[in-house]
Amino acid sequence: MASYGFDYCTDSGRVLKSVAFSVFVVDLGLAIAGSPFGGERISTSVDFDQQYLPSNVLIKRSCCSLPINTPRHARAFLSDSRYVYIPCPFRAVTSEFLRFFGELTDNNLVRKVELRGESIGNQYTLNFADG
Amino acid sequence: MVKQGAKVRRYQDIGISYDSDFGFRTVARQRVYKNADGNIQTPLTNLFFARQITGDGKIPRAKDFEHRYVNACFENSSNETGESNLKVIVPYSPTDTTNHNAQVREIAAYAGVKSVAYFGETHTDSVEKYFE
Repeated sequence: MASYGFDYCTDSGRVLKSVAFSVFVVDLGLAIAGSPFGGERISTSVDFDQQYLPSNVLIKRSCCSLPINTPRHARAFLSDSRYVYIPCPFRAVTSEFLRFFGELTDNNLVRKVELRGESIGNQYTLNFADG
Repeated sequence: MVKQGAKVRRYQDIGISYDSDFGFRTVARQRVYKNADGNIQTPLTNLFFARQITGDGKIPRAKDFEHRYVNACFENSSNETGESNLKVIVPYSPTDTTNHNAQVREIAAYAGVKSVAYFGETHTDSVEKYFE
């Protein structure tokens, strides 16, 4: 599974610098009970990922893991039962957020694009909303 | 007076003006739960009521997507887990940072709320329609 790093902005506006993220395919036909992805994860190559990662996602070296439960992400469906999981580092409504999803919907390899919102647990929600 | 055997409704629906992650404004339905005395349990705060729709406008029953929300956790000894969670929609766009974050802080400070968890907006229908 290819791993990368980027600067992630939470919905509350906190920028989390150089955090790690992965791109992978999920096969919904291989369902796993309790999986947040809905199926089995399949590793992808860098070449594969480049066909889907929107051009405005700036890749950097990663040094930390994301301190939230799930980052906001796109599910870019290749077929009814397979999608590419792509985290979105940009906050809603911004031009970068719209460009990220606009590029995915324009991608001829993608049949359908979903937005899945970030989830932040009890430890961090209030911290991030402070200040 | 409540008739014997009649069911007492313990909730009501409130319409609020909601700003989507894709930049459009819509009306969202917030379900509000009440206790046996009719008092509201859901932690609704000033910033929530500032977005309440008043008048005769209908609140849509169906929704096209999942609104962003906060899960507020309360102690509740009558539940097996010892807690109960109530959901409050956050109608302010994330880029309206002041109100978005202030509403989360208001919910966390609401009487009885022990902790809060945040969930962003989710679209399980294709988002392509927002780019046509």
